Amino acid sequence: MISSRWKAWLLFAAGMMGILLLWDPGSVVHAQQTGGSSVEYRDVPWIGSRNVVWIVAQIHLLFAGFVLGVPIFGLVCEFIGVRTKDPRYDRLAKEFTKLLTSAYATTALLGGILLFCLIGFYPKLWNHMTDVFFPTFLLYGLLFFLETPTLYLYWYGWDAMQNRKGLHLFLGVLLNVFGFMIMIVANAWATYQASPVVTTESMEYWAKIWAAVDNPTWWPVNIHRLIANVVLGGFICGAYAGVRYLGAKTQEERAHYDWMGYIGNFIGIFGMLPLPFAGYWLMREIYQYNQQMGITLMGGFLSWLFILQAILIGVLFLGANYYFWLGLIHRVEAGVQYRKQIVTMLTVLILSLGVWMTPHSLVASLEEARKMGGTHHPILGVFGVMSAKMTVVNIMILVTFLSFLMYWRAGKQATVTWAKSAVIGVNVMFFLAAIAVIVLGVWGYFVPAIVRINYFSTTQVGIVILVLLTATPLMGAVIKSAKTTKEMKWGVMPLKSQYALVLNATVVILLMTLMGYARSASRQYWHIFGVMRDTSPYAYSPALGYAGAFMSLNAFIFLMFVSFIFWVASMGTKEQPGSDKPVRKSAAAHSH
Amino acid sequence: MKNFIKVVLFVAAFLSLFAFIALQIPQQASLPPSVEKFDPSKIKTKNDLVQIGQKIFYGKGQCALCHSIGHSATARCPNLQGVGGKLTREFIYESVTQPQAYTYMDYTYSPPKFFPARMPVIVKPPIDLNNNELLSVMSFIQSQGGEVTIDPSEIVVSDGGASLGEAGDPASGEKLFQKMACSKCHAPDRFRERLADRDEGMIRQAILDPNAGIRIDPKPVHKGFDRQLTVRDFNDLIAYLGRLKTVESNP
Repeated sequence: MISSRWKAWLLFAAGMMGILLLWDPGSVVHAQQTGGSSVEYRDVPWIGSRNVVWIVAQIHLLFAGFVLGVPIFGLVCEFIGVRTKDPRYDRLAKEFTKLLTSAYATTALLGGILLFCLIGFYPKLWNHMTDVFFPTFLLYGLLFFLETPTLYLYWYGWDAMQNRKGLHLFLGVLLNVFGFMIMIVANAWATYQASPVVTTESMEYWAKIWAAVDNPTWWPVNIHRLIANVVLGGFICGAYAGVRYLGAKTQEERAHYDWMGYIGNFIGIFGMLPLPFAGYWLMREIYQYNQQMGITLMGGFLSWLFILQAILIGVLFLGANYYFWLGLIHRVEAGVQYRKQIVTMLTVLILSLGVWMTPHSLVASLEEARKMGGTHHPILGVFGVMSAKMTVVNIMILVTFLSFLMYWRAGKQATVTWAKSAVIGVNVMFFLAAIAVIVLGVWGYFVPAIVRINYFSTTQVGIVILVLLTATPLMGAVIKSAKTTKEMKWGVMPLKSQYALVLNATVVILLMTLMGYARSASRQYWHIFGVMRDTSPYAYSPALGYAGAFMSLNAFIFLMFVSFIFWVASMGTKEQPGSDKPVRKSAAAHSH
Repeated sequence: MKNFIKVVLFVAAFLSLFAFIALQIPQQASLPPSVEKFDPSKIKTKNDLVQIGQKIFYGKGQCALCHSIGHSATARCPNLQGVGGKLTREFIYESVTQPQAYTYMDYTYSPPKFFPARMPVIVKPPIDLNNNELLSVMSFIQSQGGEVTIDPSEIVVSDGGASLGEAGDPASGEKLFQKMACSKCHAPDRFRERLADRDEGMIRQAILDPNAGIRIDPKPVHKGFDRQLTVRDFNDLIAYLGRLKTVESNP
């Protein structure tokens, strides 16, 4: 049965490849010469075409992020299960994949609706995009037809391939490769709109397409989205587990969903740590591509958007750390021992958040501004610049990582002789890194912006990455042979901890909607920056209040969609108590 | 189900809070700029031509997306500083209208390939400069270290252009006065007093070049409006200020 399906897919794939290879570039020229529709825009009453596209595109992208992020850590979980021979990881990976399978069809459906909306509402833009990118549309379709059967095989073959794990893992890798390629093809279209390159008539057809695809922000966005998808997937799985925990009827269920929530949150946080660095690279490329666009984002009408971003990321850091601390108190019962550290870390996080949220110029009446001597507060104004913000972001990352290390080490007694030296070494590393980040931050006020951006900020980032990459394996080696003094108890977390998981997922979704708006709005009145001007009535970018309300609406619709899909997916599991329910008694003894 | 409803309410409350905070910060929509109008009647001297060319260079022409004037580490195309002294008018014209006409060979390939110029044809869409705009940009390029050989008389003036000194419309001028937010600092009631002892020439100069030395304040709050106003707008504004002054003297 499978082989006949495979033949069909292979035939289709070969057909698509054939179309690609035989594609005649001249036909594009012909299409341009004969001319297309004279309609440039279509609208819908009341809600407006742009808002329709906004809602559909946003929800599609959130779903897409989820279905591309989940296979990454699903595969990692499965691989850990194979390596450790611990069946719980395999079951967890399967449960993650179940959520993925449920969301996959909806993602494709929304993608189709989005395409119809773009063709219908923005024919002028879509004609141009088709002229530039048509072969990539075929490639996109081909990749989808490769990914879909791979996903089916991966999901439906899970139990059948229990004895052929190597093949199953290979399918998981393929799934990720196809998913990643689908994402980067679609990213090429979106990034071309923001940072198109100059193509000339003398360039060869394929060279032109490649130049349009390989535009300056393509790879920064690819990497940024790849990481962000993992973060989104992790936090959504965490929220799913949180909701299931709240409704759990038995201690077994609670233990399982507590563990799943922990893993989801862990994935989200670990993904989140390098995300600011990827964002920094993207912003740097934007500045290099077009300084005006960078200024629009960071100093122009979108500058206040970054205050909203700071609030959200601050809430996320607090929520993630709060969850860790609750775990420390309830799962390991080591809260009293770490109280001092928790209070110190909370203080540092709140102070850092305060600095990050300080705007460059304050909202002040004329009278207030006169009293201050301008719109910059004489003291707080110092915190409104990038040097301060880069510093506190790095400090917050270090603190969050420290929270995790504390949680990781709690209830364990090291047995290796060099453990003490390793712990001291890690502590010294943290201390020196924090000092170096702060020194570079303060120094950054006294050097030209280009020096700060090119050298100081990157050094800060490098130092923090170095700490993460050094401390993780070092502590891992210490903990690997450690003796457990206090068993990790699963299923004993208070209900508020599960709300923290839901909050984290909501914040991440809002962050993605917010930054998506920033990326789109930075083009301002251009469909394709500097190439095709938006001449529709919606050429303006709405103010952040309107946009914020819209983001909240989109996030809510998405979460309701996801809840419904997961609820439907969970109906099947209820009827098979023995087979799919992953963690049972053994989960109670699981440490992380 | 009860727990799920609680979670939904929790999420809805958080999202509402976010929307509320977003509404509390300064609200500023980004409106598309009005389409730049090329006003040939403004061009009297070669310097006028160069100034308009500069505006197009950084605006509609999109030249500055790739070219820089002076060294730039991020510019993707040649630095145009000093090229006016090196290139002839004909060469500049050909470069912007037929960028592929003289291109270098790339000898890293064997056999060598033409090195395709990244320069788009600026008299074709999407940039699509008209002849007047093209001449202005060329003047600006010539002014970079060279002598401007393009004469303002080459600019084609249409009949619809207004010229300086024509009588303006005070009502339109009043609207413009409000639109450009002049009234924020120059409240009309008090502004009359300041206008009383100034003749039209001084008012014109103060609008176009506040640094001209007729002001007492050491630091003018705004720059000149010579690049923001069309001739017609300028005439309208002068007409409105003249009326404002007259109302003061004949209450």
